[in-house]
Amino acid sequence: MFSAKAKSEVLREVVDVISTLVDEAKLNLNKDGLSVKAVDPAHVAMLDLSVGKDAFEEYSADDQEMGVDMDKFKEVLKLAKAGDIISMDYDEEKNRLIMSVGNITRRMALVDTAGMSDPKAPNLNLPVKVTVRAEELRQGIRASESVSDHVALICSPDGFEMTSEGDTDSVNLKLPKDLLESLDCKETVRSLFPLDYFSNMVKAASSAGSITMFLGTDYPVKMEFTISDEKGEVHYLLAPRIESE
Amino acid sequence: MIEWTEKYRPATLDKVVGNKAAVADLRKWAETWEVGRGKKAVILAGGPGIGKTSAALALANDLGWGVVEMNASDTRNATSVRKVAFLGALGETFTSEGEYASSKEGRRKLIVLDEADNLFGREDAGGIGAITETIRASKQPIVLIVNDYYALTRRSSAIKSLCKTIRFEPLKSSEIKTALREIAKKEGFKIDEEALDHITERVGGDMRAAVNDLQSLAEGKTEVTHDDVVALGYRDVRKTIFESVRDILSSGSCRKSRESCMALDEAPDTLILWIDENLPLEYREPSDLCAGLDSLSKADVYLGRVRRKRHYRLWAYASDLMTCGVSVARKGSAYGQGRYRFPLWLSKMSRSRSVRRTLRSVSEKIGGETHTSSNLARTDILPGFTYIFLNDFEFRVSMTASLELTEREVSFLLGEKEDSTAVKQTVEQAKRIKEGGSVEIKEIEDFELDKEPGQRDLSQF
Repeated sequence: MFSAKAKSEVLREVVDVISTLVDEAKLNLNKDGLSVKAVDPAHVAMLDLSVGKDAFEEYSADDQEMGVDMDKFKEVLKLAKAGDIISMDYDEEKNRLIMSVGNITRRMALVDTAGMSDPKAPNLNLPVKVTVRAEELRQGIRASESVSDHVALICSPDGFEMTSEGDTDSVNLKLPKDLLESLDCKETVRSLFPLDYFSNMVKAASSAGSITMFLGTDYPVKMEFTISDEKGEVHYLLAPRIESE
Repeated sequence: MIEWTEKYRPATLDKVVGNKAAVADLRKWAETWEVGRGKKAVILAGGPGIGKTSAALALANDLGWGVVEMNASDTRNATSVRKVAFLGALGETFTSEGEYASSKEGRRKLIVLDEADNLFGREDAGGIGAITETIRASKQPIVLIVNDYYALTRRSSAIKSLCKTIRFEPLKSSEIKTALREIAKKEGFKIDEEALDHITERVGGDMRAAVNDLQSLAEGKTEVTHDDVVALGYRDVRKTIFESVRDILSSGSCRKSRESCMALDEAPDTLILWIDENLPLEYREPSDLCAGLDSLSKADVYLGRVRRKRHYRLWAYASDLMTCGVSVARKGSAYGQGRYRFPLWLSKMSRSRSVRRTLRSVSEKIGGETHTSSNLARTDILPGFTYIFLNDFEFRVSMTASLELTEREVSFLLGEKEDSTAVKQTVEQAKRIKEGGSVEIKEIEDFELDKEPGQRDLSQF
């Protein structure tokens, strides 16, 4: 059983976070809320999302899985204005999700979850923790996008840096310690990441004021932020690029 | 219901049935894999259902590698290949279980491009080029799986030189039988030897087909006998077409050849090709040959009418003329030819099919633009068009843009491979024009076509 009502902007944020990595997702539902764990098709990034039931206007669910095509979800969201309430009900008999916006009802066939993996969050040893204002990161990404397709995230006890090296040009964003919301760093670390993944992940954090990153050297980055008025928690993991020796 | 082909897919390389040498080759390639040493990608070539994909997946499992798979059910155009294979090939890996597999610990990501010879049409546009790019840039091992090695390498010489090739052979009947017996044991049903013989004989070394057949026969039963197999109505069509041709050419009996044709599951327009191919082998007496071919030609007249008027009732006359007519035309004795041949015309046409298809699509586009039929475009416009297309870069780009020529069509007109610089540049520049930009002439000098204009004779198609 699953039945919920939510504001369209809340759902939109959830959908943006998921569709950044995958086209189809398995939603794990229980009485306290929903969660999604997924690896992207290129096996470069991972998502661990949990949304508490408080994020919804109304929410009730039993333990169950639901396979959803994110594009279809977006189609429904396009019909809604900000502030509209979208209601969702699971039709067990036909294995469909019934969504209504205003006077429109969409009955959505669900995706078979049998082929979808159930990743567990890996154990990573990430020595550095830094919290940056999301706006600063977005600005840095905007500057980098025309220059290169990858970005180096560097953190030292003095501050956080983001560098993008192209063939001819380079871009550098430097945030000294006092411009950071918090910094816990004893050694200098550096890893290189694909820019478009990083950029899409930061874009998905549209409503988050700040993003916390856990970093290592030539090691994945873990990004944490909240959505839906801090009722949804997002953990993204992004694997580094392999640099040639 | 779980498909047995998935349920019993080998988990490790040791369990892959048959092709021991190929499997060992694959394992060795993977174990010594390193960027800058040896080939980064490997092509597994061979017919369907003989363990290519299974071997690739088992390999990744053995070595604890992640797997990124793209197969024919995904769209594989330039964008999606770049998004999945290319980006995957540059970075480290999270496995689908959520482990972080670092290349520093020798754990890699195996990029499996299944059915890589099947990139077709608009939805897969640019896929071949993107695959070549991916292999060049990759920091991770790549496996391309193909049924038809030449269908892939014909379109890209770069792929051929970038990849190591490992060939898989059809499995032996004994290997398939052993595997089927094992499945029967695990599923808890009995199967007799005769039934096994029948299944393996029919599939011709295709393990997947054998397992699928077994499942359809055995699901929900405790015993499978030869009668079950026969009751399913398995019949080998190719065997019967040989038999029919033999009946028609050597029985001399009108009735027998007619009945044989009725029992055959082939349309008259296929059968006539078989008779035509093999008639001269059997009718060695000139007068017999003449009378036989005369009857055959009359049958062909009817077939032509069927094709033109869609008047399928005329098939009956065509059939009678090519069976009875041919069989009674022989007055002397049949030569007793041992083996009949597959129609040469069919094999020629199937070999040139993709070329003909491209020729047709180009002609249609030109015809549409010039308000002529595609036939006229082919015979009157295309020769001159091709000449200018080869020699004038600006013309080439603007035509590619306005006719919306695909990479395949450009490569056909230029006589170059699809992922060659010439084709790529033309298509890229055309794209730029369509987006409102101008041609960058400076890039013309970067390549030279080695084809003399007019060297290729298009009339042969």
